[in-house]
Amino acid sequence: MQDNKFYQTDFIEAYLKGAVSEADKNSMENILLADKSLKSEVDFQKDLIHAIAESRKQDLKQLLKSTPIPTHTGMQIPTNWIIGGVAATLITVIGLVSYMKTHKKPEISEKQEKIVVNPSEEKQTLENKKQDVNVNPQQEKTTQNTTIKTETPIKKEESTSPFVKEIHYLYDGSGVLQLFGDFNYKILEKIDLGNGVKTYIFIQNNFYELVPTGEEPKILKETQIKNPEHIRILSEQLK
Amino acid sequence: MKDQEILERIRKGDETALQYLYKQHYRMMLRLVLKNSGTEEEAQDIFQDSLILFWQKVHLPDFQLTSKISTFLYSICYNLWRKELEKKSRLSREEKDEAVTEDWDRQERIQIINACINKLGVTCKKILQYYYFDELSMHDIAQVMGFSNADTAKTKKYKCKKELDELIKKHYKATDFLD
Repeated sequence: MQDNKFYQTDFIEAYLKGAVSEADKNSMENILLADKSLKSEVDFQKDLIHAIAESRKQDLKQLLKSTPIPTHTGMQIPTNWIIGGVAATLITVIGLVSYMKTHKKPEISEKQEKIVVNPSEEKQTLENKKQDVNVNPQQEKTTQNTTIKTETPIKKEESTSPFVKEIHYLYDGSGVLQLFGDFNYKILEKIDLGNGVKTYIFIQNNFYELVPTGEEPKILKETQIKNPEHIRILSEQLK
Repeated sequence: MKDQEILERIRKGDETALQYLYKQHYRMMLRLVLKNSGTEEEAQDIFQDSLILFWQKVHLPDFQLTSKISTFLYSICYNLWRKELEKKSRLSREEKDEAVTEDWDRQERIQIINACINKLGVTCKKILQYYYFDELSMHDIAQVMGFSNADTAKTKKYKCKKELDELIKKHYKATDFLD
């Protein structure tokens, strides 16, 4: 009896998928009423397929959670950032802030500690990058020796994607800044605007405070400096 | 990307097409949920579920898209969110306990099976997922997984399923499932 097709795993799977004929389906249901053991096997296979499907759903859900999305304010925020999904080139600025130095305000180029995370990756200095922002030539010196590292993104955004325009960053607060995107920038370290000594970045003609982000990237726009007096002080630092 | 291209890519198991849709239509679904008593977090959750459902539907052999993808997605999202609101409403009427205790034994069994699925190697897990959830053909599974042909995919699927069956039955007595 148990050698017949109704007891074969392939048939059970087809039955569960609804891919058997009406006659076979009726026969199977009659057998299931009489054979508790087969009924249990069918239930087991049903749960097994259900569990496999659920695991796949979870994987897809995780994939989508990791996909950067625009918020209602028009910004792009990944629910669970994965570097592979980053839109543009990932630029790692290494040795941004050094705690090795004192309270003096020497040139950044003198006090930055250069840390090579992966020597095999391409390095370049900022002085090689073309400036398209409105900055005086002297400003170059504030970051000219900053070592940056460029990583090839694992995946590129669609060229039509509007999301790449927002600037995301990761900052550990103690020396490593990652900018998501290919931007020209100036780092302004240890500036006191009356609310403590902090680090700022000048990018696309705006100043932003670099706030430690933890593991989740933040949007730079959220920390834009808008106070005219603060902007004046920071502008002075660029000279 | 045009709708037809998206469908083709999804049918072949290209997950980046799903990500593309997520980014492309997120704002629309966000507005839908926000305007109907939802939060941004709920909007994300519902839209993610909608896309997974869409993914599943596209893989059905008889699936035919009779509207634009955006329209179709909107209707899925709308229905899921409506169901979610109904569910919330029911729960608020003190039916919570009933919902939680529903089919508890089966949930527990599935958790046990899940643990065994996670013990499988990545290749086996993917093959079984592609076969049972995505309903990819053996030819497509071979392509996605980089196997030489459909026969190889079929053999591997058979072995992986057997491995999973044995893994579960080895760890848990049949009676645990048969009762």
